[in-house]
Amino acid sequence: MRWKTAVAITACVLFFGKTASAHRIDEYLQATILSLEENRVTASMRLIPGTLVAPYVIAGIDTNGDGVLSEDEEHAYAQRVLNDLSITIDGKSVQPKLVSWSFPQPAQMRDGLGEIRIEYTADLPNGGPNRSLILANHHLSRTSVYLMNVVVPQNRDLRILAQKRNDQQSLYELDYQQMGAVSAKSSGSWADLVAWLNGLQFSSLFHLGMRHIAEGTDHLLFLLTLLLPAPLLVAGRRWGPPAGVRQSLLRILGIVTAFTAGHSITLTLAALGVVHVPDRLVEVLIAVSILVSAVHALRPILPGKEAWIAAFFGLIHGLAFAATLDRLELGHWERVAGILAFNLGIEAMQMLVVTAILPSLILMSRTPAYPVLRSGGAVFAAAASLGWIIERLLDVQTPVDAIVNAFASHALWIAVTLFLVSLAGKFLYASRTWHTAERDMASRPPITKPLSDNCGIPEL
Amino acid sequence: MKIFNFAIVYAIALALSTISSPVLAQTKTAEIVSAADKFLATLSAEQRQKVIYAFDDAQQRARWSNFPTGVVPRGGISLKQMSAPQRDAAMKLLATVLSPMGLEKVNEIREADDDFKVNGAKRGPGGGGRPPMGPPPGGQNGPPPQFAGAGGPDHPGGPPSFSPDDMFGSNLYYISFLGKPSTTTPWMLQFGGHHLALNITIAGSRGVLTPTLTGAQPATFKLNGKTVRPLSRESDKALAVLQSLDEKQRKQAVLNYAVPDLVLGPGQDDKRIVPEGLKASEMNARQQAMLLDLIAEWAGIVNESSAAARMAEMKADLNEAWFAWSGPTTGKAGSNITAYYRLQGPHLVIEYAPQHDEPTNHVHTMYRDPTNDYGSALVKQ
Repeated sequence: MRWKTAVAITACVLFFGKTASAHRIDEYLQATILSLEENRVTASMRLIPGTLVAPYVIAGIDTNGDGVLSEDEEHAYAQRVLNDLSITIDGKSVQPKLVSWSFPQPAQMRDGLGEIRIEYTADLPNGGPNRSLILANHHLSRTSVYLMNVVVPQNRDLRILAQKRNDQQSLYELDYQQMGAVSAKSSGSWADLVAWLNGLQFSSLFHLGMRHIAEGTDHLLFLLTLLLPAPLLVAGRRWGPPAGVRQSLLRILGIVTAFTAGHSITLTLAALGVVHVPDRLVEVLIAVSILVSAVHALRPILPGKEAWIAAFFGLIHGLAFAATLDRLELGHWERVAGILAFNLGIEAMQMLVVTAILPSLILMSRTPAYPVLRSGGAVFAAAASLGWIIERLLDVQTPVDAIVNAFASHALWIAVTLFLVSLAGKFLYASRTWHTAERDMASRPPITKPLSDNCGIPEL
Repeated sequence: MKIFNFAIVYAIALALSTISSPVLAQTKTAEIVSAADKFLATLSAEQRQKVIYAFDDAQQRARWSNFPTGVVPRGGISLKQMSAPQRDAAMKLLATVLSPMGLEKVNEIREADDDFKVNGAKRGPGGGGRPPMGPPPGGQNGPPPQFAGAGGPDHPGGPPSFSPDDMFGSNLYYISFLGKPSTTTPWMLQFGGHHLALNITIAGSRGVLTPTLTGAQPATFKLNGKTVRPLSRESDKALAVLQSLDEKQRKQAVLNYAVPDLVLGPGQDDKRIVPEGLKASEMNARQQAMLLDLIAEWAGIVNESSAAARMAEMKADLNEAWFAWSGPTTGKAGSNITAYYRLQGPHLVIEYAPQHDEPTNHVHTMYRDPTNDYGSALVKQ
């Protein structure tokens, strides 16, 4: 069969002379694809002799001329190819080492179909952040044509800046940046800093942080549930009348700030690998945090300590955020900047949600409908958290996610409706019922004093 | 009342339009499967066994090439080995899977091979016409200097018993299947021969054409008195994109080095090279539209429902796409460029590589999705 093919292809060359081809003819194609790692470059070479070049290439491999390519001959040729390369990194010469090689049958090469494959690697000594790799290929240069390329590095600390070549591609320069080296040298110019910052994907991590809150219904549910009783005063062991607007605002701000402080601390520690808590435990504790805040919304179990609850459970939520960041396989420096960007994204989304819901809460708390909303919300949160606890502890499927997500997917409409209802309630009740109630209250001795003197902001 | 009725009609129309596109794609798949089954039904048991491979047969999946089938044998069976009804059924299947534009391209590539069988290549003085039979032109150009003394070529002498019928021609194109045609489980249809390799993965309503190789030699020829250029628009549209660039854009797009061949041709699966040239985000809206139109020359080879999904993806990726050109920047629409060009994006590699032996008349092109060659992204799910 091979003989037939050989005859056919030979015939094709002979008949049509130089012009009839389906294959390479008088060139030796040498195609290299580099792949860059930290302090190492690997290359895979394909060498394809054209039909007219093949006999000479074969003769160069089959040095004893017995028509068979022995292992030694193949190894020697592969080594010769490497010897014909010159590789430098930042001007310093490095030695390529053979990794693997494979040779086609001589007949295939004669047909213009044979592909010699050589893989080699070279260790690159440590250097600055801006590196320059130069590869010159002198192997059989008179008859050769070249292709030189580099694959997109897997390691995101490596950024390809430029590829330069001579017109034949036999000389190739690869300029790249090695991020980890930036601070080691700390000599980077302003342009380096900008390039480095661009490489951090700040905005995509920021968006990821936002999305994480928007889609992480458990985080939001915790925060919203904790905010439910925030505009109220405590009356004995129950929730009482609304606090002043300023006081409510300060208390909500305090809760949100405390939550942020809590999760920032653990997000940073966990993302840097200082602490590690098993994912499942974290997820269960998050569900517990929702349950606690739901119970608190029903009856003030920890009056005046909302900010501390927020800070404490913030620590736990931070561990979960870190797990998300962990899955992104960020490099060391990317990670530090990543924490910042990701956290800012979380904050932004949190503020957006709180701002959207805050006026409704304060308005609504001034109507008799508020206990219904508060208890309803708390019961819903409690049910959801119980579902999650069961799900995360026992590894079973419950409909909780589906139900909560159904609500969350209509979050905007719910928020708008809530706002309209609270506006309507405010207008309906503000003029009559509540005024009388307030008057009643004013005439009575005060039931309680404000939750705490500093409006619920913990002394951090 | 009227408003209420209108709202209902509107809601129904909206609902229909949102569900209709997957539904259309699904019926297209059903049509393709039925055409494939009809073709398979015309085969003998022995032929059928030859034509169907396991879906995970990695060797057959990658058994495609730009070379003639006499040089690199393909799997499956060729049109030549089929009876007339079998051939009809095979072509009907192709007509169902491909768009009319795609089928025309495939047929013109095959016709080019017919022309090549009769006329050979046409380069140089005295080119054209059937090449003379007889002893080889001895020694060709002599050994290249650096090989001097290494020994001469050792081709067997004398006129060989070679028939171009076994090497070239529009009937030497092979069809094969990986997996059984199905509307639900993924399967692959391959059709290819000299200068053609279609690898079509069908997974439910999705159809994926990558990787696909097209090519032609001759890339311009006369058939029944009419000029045919199988890859004419690939050349003309790319030239138009290049000519639409201003000085600054052109400086980025035109590479200062030669690219002698495809970088990611046959056998180069799963490689993502760093893109070069001009980024499409630096192009104006008109240039971007031209670029998309150029991509459509490959994306549009498959049927419209698959092509539309692919083009939507290309549009979404557009700002991340790159256009690079290597070689002469002059030329005119209607005759083939002699330059290499490459389009690259997050889900795309297109290469157009004129071949060194006959640059205007011998072209190889490659169409890939490094994230989804052979539908790998669909199959994983």
